[in-house]
Amino acid sequence: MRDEAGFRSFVETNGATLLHAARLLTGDHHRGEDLVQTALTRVYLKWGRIDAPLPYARRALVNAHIDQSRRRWWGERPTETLPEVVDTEQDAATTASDSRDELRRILNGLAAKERAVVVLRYYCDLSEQETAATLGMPVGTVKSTCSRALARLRVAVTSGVDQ
Amino acid sequence: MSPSESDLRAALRDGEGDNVNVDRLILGAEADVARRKSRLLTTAAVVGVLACAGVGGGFLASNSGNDAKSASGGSMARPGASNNGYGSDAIARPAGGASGNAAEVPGLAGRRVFAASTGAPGCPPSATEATSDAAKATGTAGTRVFTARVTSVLLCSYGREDLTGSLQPPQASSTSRVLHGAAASRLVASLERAPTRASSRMCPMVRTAASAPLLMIGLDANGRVAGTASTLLGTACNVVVFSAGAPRYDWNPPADVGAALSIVPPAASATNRVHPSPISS
Repeated sequence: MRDEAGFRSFVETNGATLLHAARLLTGDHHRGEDLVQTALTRVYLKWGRIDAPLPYARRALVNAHIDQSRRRWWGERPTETLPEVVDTEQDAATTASDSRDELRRILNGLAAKERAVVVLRYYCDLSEQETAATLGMPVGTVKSTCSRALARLRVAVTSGVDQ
Repeated sequence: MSPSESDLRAALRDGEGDNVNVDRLILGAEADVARRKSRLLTTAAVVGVLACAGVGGGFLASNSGNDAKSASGGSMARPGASNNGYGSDAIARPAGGASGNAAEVPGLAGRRVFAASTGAPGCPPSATEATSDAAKATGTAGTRVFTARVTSVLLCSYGREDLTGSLQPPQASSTSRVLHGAAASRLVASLERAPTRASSRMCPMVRTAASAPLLMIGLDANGRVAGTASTLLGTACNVVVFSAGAPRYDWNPPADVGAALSIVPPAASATNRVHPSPISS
C-alpha cells in the first residue's frame, strides 16, 4: 500500500522547486509542466522503495528531459556560437529583470546536458559531487561542463552589452 | 560586465512559485497504472479464449452428434449472464431451451472452461482466468482479425474501471450480447478495415474516462470460433484491438452496433475526452 500522505507531503514541500527546475530545463512553461508530471509520476509509482526521494526526483527529471531532447533533435539545436544579444535602444542602466531574461534566453541555447548542469548547480544548489551523481557522470566532467557553459554565458552576455 | 554566479542564480530563480497539483498528479498516476493493468488483463484474456476455443472446438466437434439441437433451429440464443462479478469463476450458462448439460472441457493451467451446449462457446469466465504468456496475444500471424467468415459475434463485457482504478463488475443482465446478420457483418468489417499501424497522434498521458474490457468472439455458420478480438473501450484515444492477427488501431465501432455495445455502461463508452493538466497554473 503506497504511503500517499508521505508522497503528498513530499510534493507540497518540493513540488514548486521541481516544477521550476523542469521549466528551466525545457525552456518552456508547458513542457516544463509535462516534464515534472513525468518525473513525479515515476516517483509516485516507486514511492516506498525510494530511500532519497528528492535526489531520485531530480534524477528522474533530468533523465526524462535528456530523453525528450534526444527525441526532439529536430527542434532546438544548441549552437557553438551563441547568438549575440543586440539591444539597439539599450538603456544606460539595464534593469535587473531584463538581465535575468537575457540570461534565461541564453540558457535555452545550451545543450541539454549543459543546461542540466547549470540548473542543478546554480538553481538546485547542488555540489559538484551531487550534480555528478544526479547526472551519472564523473565529477571532472561536471566541472568542465559547468566551466564551459558559464564561459559561453559570459561571452554571450558580454558580446550583447558591448554592442 | 559579465554575469557573476549570483546573477546567474538570481536569473534562474526568477519566476518560481507555482506548485504542482498533487491530487491530479496522483489521479493521473493511478489511472496510468490501471490502464496498463487492463491492457495486460485483456491481452491475457485473449490468450485464454484462443487456447480454450481451440480445445473446446475440437471437443465439441467430436461430440456434436450427441448434443441436443438448438430449439431456435441453428440461430444462437443469448448465452445469458456469464459473470457474476469481476474475477469470479462464473461461467456462461447454457442458452434457454437447449437441452443437455454444459460441456466441461479442460482449460489451461488446470482451470475449467464450460461451453454452452448450443455448440457455441460462452464468454470466458473472467479476465483472471487467462493464463500467462500474454505476448502471444499481440498477434503477428497474418493481418486478419478473424480467420474465417463470421456470421455472428458474441460480445463479452467484464465490467468497468473508473479513473481511480476501482473495478465495477458488470450487471448480470448485461454481460454478453450476440450480434447476427448485418450487424455482425458491419462490426467485423469495421475491425478488419481498422488501421494496422498506430497513427502519429499523441494520446494524453492520463487516461480520461472509465474503461471497460470487451471481448468479441467471431463465430462461423457452424457456431465455431473464427477468431477473437479484445479491446478496452473508453480510453482517451487510440482504441486498440488485439487479436490473433495484427493489432488494429483507432478503432471506431459502427454506429448501429452502439446499442449492442451498451452492455458496457454508457459512462465507459465516451472516448477522446481530454483531461485537464494535473499541474495547477
